[in-house]
Amino acid sequence: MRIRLLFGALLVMAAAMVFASPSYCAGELGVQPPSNWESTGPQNDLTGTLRTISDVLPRDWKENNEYTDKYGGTCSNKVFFNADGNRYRVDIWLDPAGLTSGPNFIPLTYKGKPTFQYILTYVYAYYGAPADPRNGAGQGNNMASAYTQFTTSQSEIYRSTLAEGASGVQGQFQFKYAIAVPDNQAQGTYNGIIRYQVIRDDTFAVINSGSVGVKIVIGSLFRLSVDRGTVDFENMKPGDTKDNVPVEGVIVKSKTNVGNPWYLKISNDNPLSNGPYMIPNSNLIWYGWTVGKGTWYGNGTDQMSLVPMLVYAGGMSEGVNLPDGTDNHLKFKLAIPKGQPGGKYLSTIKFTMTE
Amino acid sequence: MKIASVMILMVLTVFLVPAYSLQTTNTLTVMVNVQSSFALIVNSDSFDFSRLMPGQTGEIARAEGIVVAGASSGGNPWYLKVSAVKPLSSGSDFISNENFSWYSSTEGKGESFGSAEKSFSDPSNTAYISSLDEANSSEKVVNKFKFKLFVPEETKPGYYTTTVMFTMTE
Repeated sequence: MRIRLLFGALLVMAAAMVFASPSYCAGELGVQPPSNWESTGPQNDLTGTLRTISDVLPRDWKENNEYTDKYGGTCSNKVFFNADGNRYRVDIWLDPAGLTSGPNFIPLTYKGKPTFQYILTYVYAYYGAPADPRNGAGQGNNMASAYTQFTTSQSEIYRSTLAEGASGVQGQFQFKYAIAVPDNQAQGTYNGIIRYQVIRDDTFAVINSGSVGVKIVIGSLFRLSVDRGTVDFENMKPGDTKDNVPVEGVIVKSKTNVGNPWYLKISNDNPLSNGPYMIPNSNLIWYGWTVGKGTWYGNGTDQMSLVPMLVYAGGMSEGVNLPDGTDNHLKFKLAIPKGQPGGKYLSTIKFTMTE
Repeated sequence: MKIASVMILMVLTVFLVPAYSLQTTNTLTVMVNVQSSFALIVNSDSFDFSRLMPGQTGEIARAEGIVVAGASSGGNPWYLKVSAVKPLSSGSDFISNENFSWYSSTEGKGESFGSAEKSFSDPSNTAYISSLDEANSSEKVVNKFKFKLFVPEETKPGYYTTTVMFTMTE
């Protein structure tokens, strides 16, 4: 017990001599961390640890400029091991169970592009003495220097030099992983297990192995958009009626990845008004049609209402309707009462999408 | 006993919290420009005193007179005036406007000035002023006009005509 304490104290002193900042981390079995090494978090056997890519949203998938703006998030882990006398290799893979959230899963490719990916960001070799000039970045072959698609089979990401694999040499590697979330991904917390191993490349004996749990939280997307801001009946005289406005219909698009039934309602905050004068809501009719698979509730002659009225109920398959969403089309008919005072009348129609 | 009470309160708190449900809204502004109506309708384009002898007074034969209907949704009070564009004339002969008069009745809620007979020579030719309600309504306001003509003794024979003009103005 006394010897181990003394040994640790000597190492601390040595580290202070080499590096200006005492970033030595005893948890790494006495190995000097490189200057860019994260000094917090799991350091060695990562089995059972969990890293989270939190609250990322499905993105619009861009065929070009890939990955520049669609990483939902990144996490990193690092692994320490002792070389055992021969060149070693590092493998990484995603547990075959994949990334799942109940019945939902994140595919490993989407539209021909990888989703869940890794990159080997750093390999460090420590030759047993702090002053050894060979200490530093690994000189082996990094096969994952760019983001690479996860597969469920073992994929080699690094092969050391013979010197790095010599007995007494200690190694570390750090990898990061990222997710490009498919633009139709259902909300949920997806779990998976990343597995890795360090093996001799001659006997394939395992030097080190482990896994890290990964949790990817796909946020909820519940969005309603209208393809324009105004509908203008333009000039009308008292007693006039104008129908089929706008001719092409207003497109109300509902998007969700929440997975629940949803409803589209319509109302207005006030009847068409011009100062103290109003055109009753009974004179403003809404109607339309849907291209969705749910139920359209308009009867063709529905009067506008201050109380939200049901327009559409999303179908069972529309709980997740990304990326295109569900379009509902609306038109309006307006009758100006005889004797209606002149002026510009306005009303704000409100569309509500609710679960 | 004290502890039990606290536990019950906690359970109730949990159940009273409403379930969270997602909701989102978007808006659309509807607009219309209602044009003001301002109209005057006369139910006949002519009337005839028939044959009158010098020194004789005649009245329009129609029992209801000439029906003049005005309507406005402009929001401002409006006035109905009546005038003759020129004296009744036949060639170079004429009958002075002092001999030609009008009076009226109204079905409107405004103020009528035609209950007493007025000659067309009177510069005060306002027959009716609308009420505030009538200033913002396309409902027609009906005024009925009757006319009386005295043919002076010295009037030469002939077919005398003129144009009576009804003017509606804000």
